[in-house]
Amino acid sequence: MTILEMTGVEKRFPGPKGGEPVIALRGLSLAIGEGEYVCILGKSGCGKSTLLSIAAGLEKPDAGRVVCRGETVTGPDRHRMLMFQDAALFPWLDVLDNVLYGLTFVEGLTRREKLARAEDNLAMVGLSDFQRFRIHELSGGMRQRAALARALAPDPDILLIDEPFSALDAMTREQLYADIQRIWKETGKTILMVTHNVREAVCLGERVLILSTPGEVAANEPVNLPHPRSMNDPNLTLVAAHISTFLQG
Amino acid sequence: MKKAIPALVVFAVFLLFWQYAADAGWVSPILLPSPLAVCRYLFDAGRDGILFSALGVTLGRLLVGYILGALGGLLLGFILYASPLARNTLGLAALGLQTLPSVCWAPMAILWFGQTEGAMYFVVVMGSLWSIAISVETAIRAVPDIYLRAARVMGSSGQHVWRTVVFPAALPQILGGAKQGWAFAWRSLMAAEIYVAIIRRFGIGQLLHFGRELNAMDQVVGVMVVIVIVGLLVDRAIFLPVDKYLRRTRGK
Ligand SMILES: Nc1ncnc2c1ncn2[C@@H]1O[C@H](COP(=O)(O)OP(=O)(O)OP(=O)(O)O)[C@@H](O)[C@H]1O
Ligand SMILES: [Mg+2]
Repeated sequence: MTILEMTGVEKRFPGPKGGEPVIALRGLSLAIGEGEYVCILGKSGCGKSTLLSIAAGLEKPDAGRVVCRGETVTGPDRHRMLMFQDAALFPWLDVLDNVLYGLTFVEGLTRREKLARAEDNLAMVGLSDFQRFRIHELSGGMRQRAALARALAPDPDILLIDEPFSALDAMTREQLYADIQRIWKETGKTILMVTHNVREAVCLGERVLILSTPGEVAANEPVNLPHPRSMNDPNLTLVAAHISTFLQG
Repeated sequence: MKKAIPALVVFAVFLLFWQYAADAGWVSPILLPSPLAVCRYLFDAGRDGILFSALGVTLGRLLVGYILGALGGLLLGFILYASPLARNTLGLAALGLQTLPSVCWAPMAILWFGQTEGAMYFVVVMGSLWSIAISVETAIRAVPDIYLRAARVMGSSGQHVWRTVVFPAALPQILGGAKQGWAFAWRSLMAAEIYVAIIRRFGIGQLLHFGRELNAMDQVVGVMVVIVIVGLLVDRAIFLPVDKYLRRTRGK
């Protein structure tokens, strides 16, 4: 079943100083099925973040439609959680309160149930011992984990993730690749993740969409390797090499 | 505490030298009283209660005036943020009035309010309001957009965003503005008390004023010392701990 569908989505931004408008997305269409892990791959500035903002409902497309679970998206709501490029955790709250913030608008939960849900999600990302830490006391990798827990806690229909690993060192990244695959399997969440790293896309996604500049889906490549995958798997390198050809072209 | 020791030594040497200079007759006591004379004045004024009643009157005025100025500044700051029209009119006025030394409000205060407490409050409010309003507006404007977007994605909107995101995110800067506003309020009140003579209830500033009229330099210097101490104490006892808390929790 399709969870998220974007059809003919266009987005322009006013150009610098009244110059030509910048086209960020040009008639982009895609469909994401329930439980899928899809990676969007594209060069810097090709409109990846814009695509996620529109999918989340934070920005309105100039043309085209976004439909989530059969309903047209008109604004942000907690059923489509967006994880930002830089974690965007609130520094005036501690880790646990950040996760609880995500649960503020979830109906039908008592205070105690929310607390339990927040603690479970922090346990899942491996931050149980850091609930009362302040954001500035966390490493970059831990911040992304906390942001992931905050996004997962409200149990959204789809998780939209914007280059969560680009600012991290290689070792932290590999650990997170393993963790996010495990979490995806455990929760069965639908994930749409954006990246400009080919190997990362191949390592995580069941399907890789390649975006041209400006944003249009240029190719849709399945990755038929069993999860969990490792970055060091030679088969993965082969698929990555194949997909790279689309990026150059 | 380690840092306090050199400072104490320097001050002690300075005071001893000052006392010696006064005893040796290098400076006339009419122009500059000795530290001991100042202490004696403070002790006497403290014992017969004048100092404390004046201090009470002054702090009462300061509290009322500052609270009014801070609340007004907060409100005006929000308005300046929310309305481009207000920003282009009131905002410009605020920028200008902020630079106006607060004594300049005293003549108007007397004409409008007479020799009343109202005149005191007016000067304090005018002295602090504008700078607080400008800092509040700047603080809100500086809140990173990403926090607002994150809050909206999680379902927050309207006044909930303001209460749970904009205000806490802007708080450190708002506090900086409040602290600056406090410094302005304190200066304004001293100007007002020296300028506006209320016969029935007098504060610290009036004590300073009478000291000059009586040519009692020990009183003038003694009151100046009190003014400095009050300023320091409020800064240390109220603003510094809050500032430290914010730094500790947010790591800046
Ligand atoms: N708010 C905006 N105002 C004007 N132009 C914008 C705005 N947001 C994005 N753009 C432009 O739209 C294009 C796509 O931007 P976007 O941030 O979506 O790229 P991206 O693929 O996420 O890049 P990166 O990989 O560097 O994050 C860029 O040319 C950018 O300059
Ligand atoms: Mg981006």
